[in-house]
Parts: sequence; structure tokens; C-alpha cells
Amino acid sequence: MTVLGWIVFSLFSVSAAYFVYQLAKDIIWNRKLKVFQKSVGESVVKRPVMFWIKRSYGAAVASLFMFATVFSGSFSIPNMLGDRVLLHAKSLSSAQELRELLSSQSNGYLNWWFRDFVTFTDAVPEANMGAEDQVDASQELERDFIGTNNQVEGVEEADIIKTDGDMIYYAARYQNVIRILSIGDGGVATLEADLELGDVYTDSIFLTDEYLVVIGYSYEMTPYAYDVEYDYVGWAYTAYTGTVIVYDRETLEIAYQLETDSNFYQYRLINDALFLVSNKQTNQEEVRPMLKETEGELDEVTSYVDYDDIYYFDNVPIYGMTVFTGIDLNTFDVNSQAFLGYVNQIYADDDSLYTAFSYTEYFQYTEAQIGWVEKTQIMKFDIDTTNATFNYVGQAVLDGYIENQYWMDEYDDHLRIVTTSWNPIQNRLYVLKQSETTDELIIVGSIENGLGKPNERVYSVDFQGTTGYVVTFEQIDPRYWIDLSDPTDPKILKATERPGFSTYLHIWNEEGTQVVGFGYSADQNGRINGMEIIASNDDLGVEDSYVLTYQDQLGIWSYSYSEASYNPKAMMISPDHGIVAFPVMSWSYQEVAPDNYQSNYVSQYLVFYIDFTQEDPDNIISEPIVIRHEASAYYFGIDRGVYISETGDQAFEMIYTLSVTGMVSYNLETKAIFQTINFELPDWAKE
Amino acid sequence: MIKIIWNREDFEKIQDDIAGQFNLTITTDPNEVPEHKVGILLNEDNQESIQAFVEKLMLSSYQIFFPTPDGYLQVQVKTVTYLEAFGDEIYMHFDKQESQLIRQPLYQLEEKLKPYHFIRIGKSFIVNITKIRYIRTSFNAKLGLELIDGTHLEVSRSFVKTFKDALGILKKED
Repeated sequence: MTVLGWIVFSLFSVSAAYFVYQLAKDIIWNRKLKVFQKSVGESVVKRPVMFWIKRSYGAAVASLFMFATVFSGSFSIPNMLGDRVLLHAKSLSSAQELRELLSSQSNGYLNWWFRDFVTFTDAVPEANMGAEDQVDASQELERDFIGTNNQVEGVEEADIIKTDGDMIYYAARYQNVIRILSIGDGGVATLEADLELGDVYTDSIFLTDEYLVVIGYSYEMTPYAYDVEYDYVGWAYTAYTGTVIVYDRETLEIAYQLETDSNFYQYRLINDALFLVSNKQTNQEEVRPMLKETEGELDEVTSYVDYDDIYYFDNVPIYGMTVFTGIDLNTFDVNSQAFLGYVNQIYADDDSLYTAFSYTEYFQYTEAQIGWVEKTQIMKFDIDTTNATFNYVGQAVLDGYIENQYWMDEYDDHLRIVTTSWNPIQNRLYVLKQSETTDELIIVGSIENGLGKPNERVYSVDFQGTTGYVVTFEQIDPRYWIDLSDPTDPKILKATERPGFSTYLHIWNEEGTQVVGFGYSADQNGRINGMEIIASNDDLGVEDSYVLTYQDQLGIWSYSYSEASYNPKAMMISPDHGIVAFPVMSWSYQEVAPDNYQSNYVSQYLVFYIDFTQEDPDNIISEPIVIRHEASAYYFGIDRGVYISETGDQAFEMIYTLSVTGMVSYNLETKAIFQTINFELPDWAKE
Repeated sequence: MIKIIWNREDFEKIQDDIAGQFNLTITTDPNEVPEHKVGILLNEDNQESIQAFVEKLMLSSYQIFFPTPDGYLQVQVKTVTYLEAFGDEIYMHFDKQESQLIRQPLYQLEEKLKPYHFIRIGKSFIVNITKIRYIRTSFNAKLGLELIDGTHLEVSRSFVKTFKDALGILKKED
């Protein structure tokens, strides 16, 4: 309670005590009077009830105020986090409270909340649209490369491949190994090492000047009992161990290792500060998130996140525990906080981190009907990239859900976010700003109507400064230009339409007038007929497109698919280099005899040049360079490609493509395959 | 059992008043009591009840003469609620909202009425304790009194101790 609260409480307490004392005296005096009068034979005059009610009034009112002071919470010391009053987030005090909260959700509220289920594979490198290409401009070695397709410049996102122009690190899928290749003179690649990770499955990697950071997990499986009736022995994942291993790049020795009892699934690296989001299972005996650290040769240190560093919200469903961890890669200092709830997507720039949790809320619509609406909780954290620390700032719950991180963007301390919903189909744009005093994100501007025609939902979003781009789709793809120069009054500037829709937009120039989109083409009826890359120049009102058409002719049926359609980090994209490239899996089926089809799988990596200066708009997108890997199954297909070039005496310009089976490099100058390296395959992949 | 022989006319005046207060057996049997008298039978085991009843009988019949501007006035003590002084003038108030100017100093009246449960409660007031409906304690250590006729009086701070003493609660309270 505040000092003022204590003063008020004391005053009411003293008053109540005084009135009670007076009342007691009254009772005693009048009882004595009654005894006296009786003793002298006088008939005792009965005191009216109202007298006692009146005499009790003061004591009753003062007591009421006294209790109201305490229980109303008006004078409670506000729940503070730094200099911010927590109106929404509440911190825990004990394991008991945590268990009760989890229990209440699983027993009752779970029926009324639904999470957009995110599978573990969804959590692997997720879509990245509108990212900045990373060009290492400081190369005195005259090496140049295209790095991971990041959303925000300076905020590194994890991927299964990383390069600094000199080395390529590739976390091969389905294998607990990192392939390390050096790029030597003339662009010649050499397989330097296979870094075996033991029982750790790689999820993503990061690269710093000094370290290779591997983020992964291991798990233990516990067999179910053999069930005679069903003739079945099942297995169940019991415990994931989220793991961060920091390798010294020179020695490949482990410099630092962090093991937790939660799964890491969202991460950002900013200035050697690694921020990780993980999900902890809450059915374990120890409900606090565990951190087990090993630094160099030092002994293992185990710690737990304190209960008062675990927060929850009354109005948001609790599906589990989300743990935020910051690791300073210079000192290996670790900070952790946890929230009861879930996080689907994160957005980060160099001083803020936003999380989004989309869920479905159910309510009794009529006596017989259950209604539902989609909601998204946004949380904001201030981040300090010098010490890898973060502070919870505030939250807001919005209507609708978001599908990926590109639907969020911060500009000039305002978060712009686009949501869409099924029930009813409605697309919205919100502009949020943090409160100065409380943990609230305040909606300062919004567009509730006009985004999308009836029945159209949002498919892709990008922001460039004060302009937002939103693509909606049902049968045709309107792309909306939104003026966000006044955060409190966002306006739809215009909309253009074309068949199909983009799942990813990449703003090509600073003015935002040149846009490259990746998605699906469709006919005028909305029927999808292939994957498509488009390049539109709004300045000139021209557009070029390239469609990877589905074929169904002469007994051959084929189709293509690319991971880039849902994960833009599979895409190598750089306006500076004028390059868009991505892996494509193609299948064709030929009917060689009635009801007898012969299938053929081809793994390709397509490299397009984008040149908006071309006079003929049809030439903006070049014909693709096609690089193929020998692959007998889709899971051996090309995962990623890397562009590295060097000028000077040993000049080269190369695309290195990597798959489970090996590395194939392509010389962009000679337009020919330059080198092939076959990787040692695990036994299961040799057949 | 003890028997009290009392004037029948006097007894009839208080009969309604004491109904239910005391466990009495009344007899007017000429073989047991003289004419115009009444026999009152009390259980001698309850000494307190007997004492209270006797006091009630006595008080009901006490009559005192008071000097007034118009001569002496015979007053039945039990009908007086309180006395009030305005300088030299003393007003005696009765339970039927009547009052009478008395020509006698208040201190003398205090002494005169003390045996009949009258007590000084201020420089200008004497109150009949048996006429108090209830006592109200207050912030300033004074006592408020409400009499059965609705009159409100105040026990001055310097007379509170005496008042308590009269009620017999001084030792327990202080």
C-alpha cells in the first residue's frame, strides 16, 4: 500500500476504533442505567432500536471505509516494472500460483480459447518477406556476398545457411551436422569440416565474426506400453532440450553452451546480442524455466527463472510458458523472463522486440450457438543490444490474426500491424504506440474497412517508411498502397489489381515504387495455375512476371513447388545485385501405360536477374539460370543458394547451391557449372 | 413470603406501572387486610426484588413542598423530570411537559432531592435519574441524556464523575 494509503487507512482505523470505543461505552453506560433504574423499582424505558443503529453508524461507516481502503486496491502500490505501471502483466509469486493458473486454464478456459497450432516444423526458419539483403560493404578483400533475407537491416535472422563471403556454413537437413566450406581463390570451394552435433538437431545457425552459433534441440522419447488389443507400441516425445551451442570459428571448440527445458523457435541476432524465444512445457515437475550453462572448461551452472520474473495476463489464454532469453555473445551473460501464454511471431529492430500471439476466442453467441473471433496479443519489449537485456513495455489485444512477421513493422516508435480474420472476413491495419506510464500499447490509428473486397483476406504485407503495402486475395489480387505518414490517420492511397496473389513482397527501391512479389498466379476466376514471380514498376505502370506453370498435356502432368512460398529465407534476394533466386522442386508424372505412371523428380535452383531499367517491361525479369542437383527424393533437394563474388586479380562471381547430397557452384560469368562437391551421406540416405 | 400492607388507593396508582416488573401476589381479602388497604405478598428469597419494590412504593408516594411565587406547592417527587436554573429562577419540569417556578436555591434543592435519585449534572441542572431514557457518550467527554419526555440534557465534564458515581459504575469504568 502507498504512504497515502497507509495514512488514509490509519485515519479510518483510528476513527473506527474511536466509534467502536464510544459504542462500547454507550452500551455499558446504558446497561448500568438500566440496572440502576431496575434497582429502584422504576420500569425501564426501552431504548429504541434506531438509537443503536445511529450509534453504530459511525463505527460501521469507518470500518467499511477501512476495509474498502485495503480491499479496493485504490492505494495498493502499483505493480511496477522499472518506471512503468503494470496494468496488464502480473508477476507470479510462487509455484502454487503458477500451477493453479495452469490448472484453471487446462480445466476450464481451454474450451474457450484456441491457439493457432504451430507445429515444430513451422517453427523452423519462418517466412521472411521484405527483408533487406545483406551486403558486406566493408570488404577490403573485395569479397561480396548476399546473405540471409532479413526483414530489418541490422537485425540478423537465423537460417540453415550462413556465409561471410569466405566461409559457408550449412546445417544440412535431417542430419546432425554442419557442413563447413571455405571459398578460396577463384571461388573454389573446399569442404573444410563436418561439424558433428551429436544428438542435437539443428534448427538454425547464426554467424558472428568470432562464433558459429547453433540453435537446436535434442529430445528424449519414452515408449508407451505395448497395447495388445491394438498390437501397437507407440512412442512419445517427453522432453525437449532447447540448446544453443556457440562454437569458436577458428578451433570449432565449444565456447559456450546453453541447455534449457524449452524449445527455441524464434531468434534474432543484433550486435552480438542474441535474443531467443522458446516454449516451455508446463507438465514438468519444475515449472520454472531452467537454464543450464557451460562456458569453456568451466563447470556446468544451472539456474532457474525466478517466479517474479514470470508474468501472466488475465485476458489472454495460457497454453504454456514462453521464455525470453538474451545472451550477450561477448560475455555470455544470460537474461531470462517468462510469460504464461504463447508467441507465434516476433518482429525486432535494433531497440524493440514485438511478439504476436494469435488465438481464437469463443463465446456464447446464442443459447444454442457458440461464436468465435480471432484475436492477437501484441507484446512489446525494449531491448538493449549492448547487454542482451530486454524489458517488457506493454501489450495490446487486437482483433484478427497475423500470419507472419512481415505483417508487423515499427517506424518512428509506432508499430504498424495488419490483421485479417475469418469470422467475419475482415482486414484491419492498426498503428500502436506505447503508453508512457503503463504497460499498454495504445491504438493511435487504424483502418477497419476498405482493405480487401468482400471475402478477400490478407496474403502479404510489407512496409517501406511511411508507406504500407497489403495484398488481399480471393479471385484477384488487389494490392493496396497505404499512407502511414500520419500514424493517427492511416489512409488507403490506391489499389491495383492483377490475377493471383503474392505471399511475399520485397520493396526494390527506396521510393517503394518498384516491388518484387513472389506467390501464385491465377486465372480470372481465381484458379491457381502456378507459382509466379512478379516485378512491378509503379512509376511507369509496367509489370513483368514469370510463371512456373503447371503442365497437364500429352499425358505428362507436372508441377513445381518452392520453400520460398512460405519461407522467404529460402530466397536469396538483393536489389543491389539485381538478383532473386530460390530452390524449386519439380515433379512430373508420365503415363507410360494405362494406370501406370512414371514419376520424375528434379531439384533446381533458379536465379533471376531483375532489371527495372529495361526498356521492354517484359525483360525486367530475366530468363532464369537453372542449377540442378542430382536428387532422387524431394528431401535431397537444394535447400539454399549463396552468392559470392570477388573483384580484382582473382575475380569471380559464383552461385553456390547446397543440398543434403552436396554443393554445386555455378559461374555467373561463364554461365556454366563450376564445381561439384559430394557430401558424405548418412547410411539412411545412401540407398 | 412477606406481606406488605399498603394504602389501596396509592397502590392502584402504580399498579399498571409495576405490572410485569415484580412477581407479586395481591390480596384485598377483608379477612387478611383492613378496608382501603391492599396486601402485597412477595417471595422473600429475592431480596433485591423486595428492595426495589419497596423503593418503588416509597417513591411513588413521596410528596415534598416547594416554595413558589404563589405559595407552597405540594409535588409528588416521582413526577419531576429535571430542574433548571435561570439565574435566580428555578424551573421544575414534570413528565407531562409542565413546569413550575420554584423559589429555592438550586444547591438546596439538590440536597433535598438527592435521596430520591436526583443528581446535579451541571451548574444549572438537576436530573431525575429514573427519568433518563438513554445516555449518549460524546467526543468532548461530556454525556448527553435523553429523558423520557424527549428532553435533551448534557452532563458537564465536572459532573460526569458524580454522575457515574450515582449510577454505581465509577470504579468499573475508571
